[in-house]
Amino acid sequence: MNQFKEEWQRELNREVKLSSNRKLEILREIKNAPRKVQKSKRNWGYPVVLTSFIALSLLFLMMNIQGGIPQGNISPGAVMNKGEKIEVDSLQLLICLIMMIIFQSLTLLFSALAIMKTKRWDSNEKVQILRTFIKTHVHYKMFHIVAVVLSLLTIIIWMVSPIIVVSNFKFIGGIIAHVFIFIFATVIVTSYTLYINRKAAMQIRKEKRKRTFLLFQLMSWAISTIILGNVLLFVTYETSYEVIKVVIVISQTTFLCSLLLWHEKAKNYAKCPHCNCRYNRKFVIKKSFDPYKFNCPECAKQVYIKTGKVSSTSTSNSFYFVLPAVYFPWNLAERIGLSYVLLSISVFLMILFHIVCLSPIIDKFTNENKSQW
Amino acid sequence: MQHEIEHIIHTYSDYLLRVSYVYVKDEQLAEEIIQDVFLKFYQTQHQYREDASLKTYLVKMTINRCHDYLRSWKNKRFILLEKVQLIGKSHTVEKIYIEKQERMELTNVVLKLPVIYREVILLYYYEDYTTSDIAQLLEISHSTIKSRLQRARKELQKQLTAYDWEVLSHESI
Repeated sequence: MNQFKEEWQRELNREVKLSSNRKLEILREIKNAPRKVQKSKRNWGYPVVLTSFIALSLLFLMMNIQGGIPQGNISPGAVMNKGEKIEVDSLQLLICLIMMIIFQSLTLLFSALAIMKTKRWDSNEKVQILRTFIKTHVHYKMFHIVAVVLSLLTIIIWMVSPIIVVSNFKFIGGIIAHVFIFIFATVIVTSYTLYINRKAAMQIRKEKRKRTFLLFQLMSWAISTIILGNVLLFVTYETSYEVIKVVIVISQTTFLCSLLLWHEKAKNYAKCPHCNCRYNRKFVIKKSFDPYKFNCPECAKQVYIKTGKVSSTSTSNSFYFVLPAVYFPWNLAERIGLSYVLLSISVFLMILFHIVCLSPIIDKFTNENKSQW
Repeated sequence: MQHEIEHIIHTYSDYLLRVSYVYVKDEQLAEEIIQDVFLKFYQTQHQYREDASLKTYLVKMTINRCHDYLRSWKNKRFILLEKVQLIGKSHTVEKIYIEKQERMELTNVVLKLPVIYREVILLYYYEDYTTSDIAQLLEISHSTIKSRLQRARKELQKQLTAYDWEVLSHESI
C-alpha cells in the first residue's frame, strides 16, 4: 500500500476541515445571495450590429444626398472650378481603364473557376451546361488571347484618341475614335466567333446541345460587350464620365464577389449534428438570423449555432488578398470625384452577397450548448 | 433545491476545502473559494449536464476558481507583502498557525512545490485519479502529466529524505 499516500491523506483529512458553523454560514450566505436572473442566451450580435450598421449607413447616405460632405462627392479640383467642367487627369483615367479591364477579366476568370470547381453545384443542371461551354472555351484557348488583344488595343487607341482632334472640337475626335474602335472590335469578335472558334461551335451543334450552342454564342457577345463597353466609355469619357464611375465600382464589386465564391468552392451547406441531414440554402439563411437555437426539421432535436472557431477565418483570409482591390475605388474617390453614395451601394451589395451566398456555407451548427461569445 | 444544496455542502465541503487549500496554501482563502464555488453551483446548476460525477464537476470548478485566484493581482500583492512581512497575523493566530504547520509536515513539503507539480500530486495521491483522468481534468496532454508527476516525485524525494518513502522511489506511473 502506498505509504506516502496514506500518511498524507490522513494528515490532510485530520488538519484541514470545515467546522459545522462555517458550513452553516456558507449555506446561509448562499440562501441570502441574490438569485441570478437567467439571461436569455439570444444571439444579440446580428440584430444589434446589423441594425446599427444600417442606421449609420442610412445617415451617411442622407448626409451625402443633402450635400453634407462636399469633399467626398467631387474632387478638390472640381470644387475649385465649381460650375465649370470637371478637369480630370488623363493618367487617373488610364489607371481606371487598366483597373477596370483587370477587374472584369478577373471576374470572368474567377466566375468560370467557381463554376467549374464548386462541389456543391455538382448536381445542378444549369451549372452543368455552363461547365460544358467553359470547357470548350478552355480547350480552344481562344478566349484569353482575344480578351488580351482587345484590352491592349483599347488602351492604345484610348491613348491616341486625343491626337485625333479636329481643331477645337474634341467631341468629333471622340466620335471618330469611337466609330473606329467599334468597327475594329466588331470585326475581331465576329471573326473570332465565326472562324477561329467555328469548330467548337459546330461540334456542340452536332451533339444537339442547342442550349449550350446558344450560350456559346452569347458568351462571345458577352466578351465583346465587356471590352467594347469599356472602349466606348473611355473614348467618349468627356460625355459619359459619370458612367465610368459606375462601371469601375461595379467591376470591383463583381470581382470581389466572384473571388470569394471561388474561394469557398470546397464548402457545402451545413448539416444537422444529430441526423446528418443537409439543409438547403434558404433554410440556413433563415436560421442564421434565428437567435441561438432551433429544432431540426428532420429529427426535431435541438440544434445550436456554432460559435468560436467557425470556418469564417478562411473567408477573412481571402480578404487579405483582395484588400488592394477593396481600397482601390476609395483611393480614387477624391481624385476622380467618385461619389461616396456609389461606394456605399457597393458595400451594401457586398454585405448582401455575404448574407445570401457566403453565410449559408460558412455557418455551421452544433449539438453543444455553448455560450455565444 | 435548498435541501439538495445543504446535502451537497455537507458531503463535499471538506473535500473541496482540502483541494483548494493545496492550491492557495491558505485555509481562510480556501474557505472563501469553496463558498464561491458552492454559490456559483447553486446559481448555475442547470448547466450541469451530468456528463461527469458531481464530485468531479465540483472539483473542476474549484480548480478553475483556484487558478483564477493564483492569476489575480490580489494573490500577487499578497505574496509580495508576505515576503516583506508576515501580514495580518496576530501573536495568538501566529502561534496557532505555526503549531498547525508543524503538525502538517507532509502537506508542507507538498505546498513547497510549484503549483503545476502540486496539483498533479494532489490529484494523483490524494484524490486517487489516474494520469489520464488528470490529463482530462486539467486539459493537458497525458505525457505532460506523466513528466510533471515524475518531476514532482523527484522534488518530494529530495525534501523527504528522512522518511525514505518507498512509494516515491520505486513506483512507476
